[in-house]
Amino acid sequence: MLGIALGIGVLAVLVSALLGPKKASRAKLMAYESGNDPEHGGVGTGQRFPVHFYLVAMLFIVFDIETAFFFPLAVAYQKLVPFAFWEALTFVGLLLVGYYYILKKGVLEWT
Amino acid sequence: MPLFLLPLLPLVGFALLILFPRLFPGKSGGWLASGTVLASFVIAVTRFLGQGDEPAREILWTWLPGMALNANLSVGFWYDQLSALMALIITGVGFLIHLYSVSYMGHDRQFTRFFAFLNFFVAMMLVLVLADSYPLMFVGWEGVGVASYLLIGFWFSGRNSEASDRDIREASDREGVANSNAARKAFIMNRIGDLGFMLGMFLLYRLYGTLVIPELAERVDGAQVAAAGVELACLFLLVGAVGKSGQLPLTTWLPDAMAGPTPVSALIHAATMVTAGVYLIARSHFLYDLAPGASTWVAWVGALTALYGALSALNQHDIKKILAYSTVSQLGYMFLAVGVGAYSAGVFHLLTHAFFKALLFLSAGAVIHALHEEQDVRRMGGLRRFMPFTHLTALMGVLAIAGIPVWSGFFSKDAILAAAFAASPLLYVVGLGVAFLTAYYMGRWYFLVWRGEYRGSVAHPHEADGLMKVPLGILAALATLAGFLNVPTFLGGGHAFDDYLGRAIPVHGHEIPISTEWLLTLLAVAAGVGGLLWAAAEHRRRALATGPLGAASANALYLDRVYDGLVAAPSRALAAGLDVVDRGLDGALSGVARNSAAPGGLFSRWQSGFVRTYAVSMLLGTALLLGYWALRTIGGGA
Amino acid sequence: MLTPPDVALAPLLPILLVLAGAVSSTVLGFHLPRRTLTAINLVLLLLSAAAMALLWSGPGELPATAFGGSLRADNAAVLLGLTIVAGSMMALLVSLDTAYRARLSFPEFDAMLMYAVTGTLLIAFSGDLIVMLIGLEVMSLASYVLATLQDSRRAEESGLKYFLLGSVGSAVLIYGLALVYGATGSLSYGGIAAATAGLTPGNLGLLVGGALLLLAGFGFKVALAPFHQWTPDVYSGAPTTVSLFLSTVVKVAAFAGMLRVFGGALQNAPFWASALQLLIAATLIVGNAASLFQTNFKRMLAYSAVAHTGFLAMALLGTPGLGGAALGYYLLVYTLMTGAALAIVAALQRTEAGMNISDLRGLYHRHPGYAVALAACLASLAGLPPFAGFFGKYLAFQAAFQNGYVWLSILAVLASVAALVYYLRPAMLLFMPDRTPAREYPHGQRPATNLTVALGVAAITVLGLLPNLWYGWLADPAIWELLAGR
Repeated sequence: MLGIALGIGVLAVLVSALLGPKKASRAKLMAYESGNDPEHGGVGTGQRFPVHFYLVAMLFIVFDIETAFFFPLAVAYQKLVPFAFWEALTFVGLLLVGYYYILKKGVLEWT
Repeated sequence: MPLFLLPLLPLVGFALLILFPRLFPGKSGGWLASGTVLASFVIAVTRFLGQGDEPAREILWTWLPGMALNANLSVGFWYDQLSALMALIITGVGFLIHLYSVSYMGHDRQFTRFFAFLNFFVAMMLVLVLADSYPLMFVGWEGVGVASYLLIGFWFSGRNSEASDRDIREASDREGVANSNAARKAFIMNRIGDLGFMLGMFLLYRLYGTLVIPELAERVDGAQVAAAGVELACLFLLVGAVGKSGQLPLTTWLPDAMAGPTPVSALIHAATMVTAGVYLIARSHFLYDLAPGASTWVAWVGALTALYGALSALNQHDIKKILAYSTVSQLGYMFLAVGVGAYSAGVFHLLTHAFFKALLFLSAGAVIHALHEEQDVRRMGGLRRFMPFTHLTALMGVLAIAGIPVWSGFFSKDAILAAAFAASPLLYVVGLGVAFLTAYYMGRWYFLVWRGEYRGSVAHPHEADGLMKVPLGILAALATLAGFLNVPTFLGGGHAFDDYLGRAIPVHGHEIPISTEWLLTLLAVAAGVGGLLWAAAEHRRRALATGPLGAASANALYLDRVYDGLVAAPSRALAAGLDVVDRGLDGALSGVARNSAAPGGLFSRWQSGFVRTYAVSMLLGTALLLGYWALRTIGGGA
Repeated sequence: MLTPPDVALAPLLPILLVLAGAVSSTVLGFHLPRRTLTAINLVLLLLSAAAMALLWSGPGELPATAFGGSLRADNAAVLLGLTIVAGSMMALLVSLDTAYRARLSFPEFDAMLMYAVTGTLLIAFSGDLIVMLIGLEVMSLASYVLATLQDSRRAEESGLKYFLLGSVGSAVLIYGLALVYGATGSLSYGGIAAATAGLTPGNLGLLVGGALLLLAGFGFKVALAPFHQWTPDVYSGAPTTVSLFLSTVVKVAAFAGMLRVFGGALQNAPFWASALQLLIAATLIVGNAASLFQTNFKRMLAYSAVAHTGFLAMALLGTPGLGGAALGYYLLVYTLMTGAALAIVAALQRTEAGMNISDLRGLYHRHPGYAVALAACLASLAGLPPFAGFFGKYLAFQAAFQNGYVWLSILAVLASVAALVYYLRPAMLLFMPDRTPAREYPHGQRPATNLTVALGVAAITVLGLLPNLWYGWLADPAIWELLAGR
């Protein structure tokens, strides 16, 4: 069984490597940068992004997830026990700690 | 008086001396150290005088959970005839050597530290012999190893590291490196032995469920245990004993250990620590009685080591090296004795050897002192005129070790040879040959140092001072007379020593007709006298400077070089090869691998500093784990 | 109506106290000086230790649990948790003296350290795989940040390596976790242990595959070869105080997780033990051989940490009763001796690269107290009696030996002989006379570090002479046979 499993795996790689057409085009040889043009304006081409750009992006993800959590909570709220309320409050409290931290760190001040 | 005071007193001395060296100006540290050992000796004597037939066991506190029969293992001391005897030797000879060192080390900068280490050694050695369980014995066993390491490397920066002259300082640095290497070699070879000891303990616990010696001694008779298990455990313990006692094949550290100060050689590397292996086997006699195969190994290891030591001693030129190889050889005798079941004879030789070998080393120390650190016997000679007292004591030592009647070595060696004869003629022949060689090389040592004309460079060698004479005198008396403790029956004696020790360790009497015993004794005496006469004849021809066997003996039968070739050289070559590879690729790596700039070594090469290679080896490792399982599953037919 | 989970405060309290420290450091960092925060955190750690001590369940008592057994405050958790707190306190105390010099004196250092401790405690108290995983991730993420916190190229490289490789390790671990769940249909340790007996061959295959992947994942966290390669780079690149934390607390926690998973949930699962013994053998060889070649003292200690992983993991091969106790004892001793040794390095180093072994020459004449303490730590690491390191090794070897791993025990003893060489070299240099100018930081000897070192050395000495002070608590085999609960 193992022999067959390994054989199929190896075969698939070998066959495609041997038989597949190899036509290189400029676009194919370019490094993949999530759709950005790596030579004009991508990462590593000398163009600079402000650090804030990344910080805000990360904060967005954090608070986005918060929303994603709250939505189902709100929908099912009627069916939940009071415990859920306190649990959600703890969650928000911890997020607030983080919010206070970034506020004091000045992450949200765009200068 | 409680037993724990015995090791405690020197330990307190050690703690005081190492922690508050400034409190002890001048020689007061040495006196304190000698005082603690003397106090221990007094305790040992009072305990000895008040000793009954029943062994005493004094338990201090609970130590390791499990490890004993349905109970926790305690720190406890065990006082029977064997440990009483060992405690007397250690504290008695130890005290004399402490006393001697007060004078001998008087000018050393690290005087107080020396005595701290010496006290530490005595304490650990007492723990070793008084321990009531193998783990506690192991603590002492390691402790004496550490003490020996510290003391061999005592002059780790050479004896003149603070000299103002540059050349002397550099020579001293070289000497320091050699001393440190000797210390390290001793420690590591000892640890290989400890490996055996440890595995032996594991196996014993597995077999009998306890590591307490008296409990084990009771259990071995009734327990249903595979004979192969006992044999293996005994062989493991033998490995431990071989390491500590400098037997083949772990013998090469002992001659190197002479790099330490001479009192250390006398105390640790002749009289006490190196005999710990013999003690271990004698202490485990109840196991070795069940393991005839392992006992045969012990006997042959001993016989071959005795021969090896004697052959190597024939053509040495260092006054201490001759004695060192002689120690190796005499320890071989003791192993031979305990290997053929003559525990009492082995321990008796241990006792007499402690006296005469300590005596010889201390005499050699006096000579080295008188000649301002000269150790080459070819540049000595005629010293009996300058140092009459030391000459006399050294002569007693030589006669004792050569086995000349009425001196102690005669009785102890005779007992071993008789036991060997009863066990196997071949062992006996080896033993007799070694006796002959021993007499020859000790005769050579004696004539080269004390007789003939003076060949040294120091104008007027001075006799040892009063403080050094006292231990020399006492040891000379003991080396001469201790044999009468155990005069065998056929010589009309009462073998008091055998009787005494027999209460702790059964004495297996050997059945040899009295006429044969007389013949054996005559042969042994003939070997001793013959060896001495041979040396005297060579001395008359002035041919002693080069002994027989030439370079082979001078290089100790090339054993060191064989080890070097087997172990060290290939690893050096490997390291060199890897180094070349390393340098070749260095340039390519240096940009990225800034955190992994470790040079040399196969594993540092693998440690390239690239995250991707690390990730690859992690994934490969995972794949290998799964692959290994897959293969095992297929192989197992599951 | 859904039923609320059973929330019990008592078993949560030790963790909540530490978390409170982390949160307060985050918030109060803007208003209070860091030394005050550290003091608060030290007090909270002590309180947490006291809370754990109160959770000790005597014979016959059932351990406190919460969330339906997902959090188990049994005696094993208490003992491992106390070890973790001891290591964390050492790291915090040392940071009081050295963080300023290492440019680490931010409130974030305290906050991240306390978050990491929260994670480690979660692992020790875990009752199922999910809680264990959460703890592991909290701990890992916080320690990635800790390793990077210092503003230097070395720290950045170290932290990034740690992060990248750590995520590979976590991925493997989670995959294994999924397979184990797939095979047994349970995430709780007790459920897995109960399900192993009656598995179909197909599910058994899944279980073994999952166990091996878990082994690989944990192998990364504790640095078993061949998953160890990040260790020397990260430990030597990170600031020494952080290395102290990573090599003690984080390792203890990872071992706690291994003990829970392999000694508890998977104790009857086949095959992982024989795979583990191969990994241990490789670790012993690689760790000890590489240590021999190091010239930098801090890096040597990093490799010695790898080597010690091998010695520690041997205890996992013993029967749970014997092996768990051996591991518990050895972990505390390891924490104390490694912590004290690295505390001295942190105090005396000139730069965060640590010091060269040759720089130690003659330290006795300049800092006699530290030299003696360091010699004691090295002797203990080398496993020389009467220091506690000897009994740690002894118990671990004994545990493996009694369970039939004879050749591995022999290899381990041989490796410990080799280890002697590289521990002895610096120990000997300490006491050599020196004619060269001192190469360590001259004003390194400070009260908090002194306290840490003194406590560590005193503890390894006392625990060597009287091992029962700690081992007596561990010795009951029932503690370790019920790691998964009933």
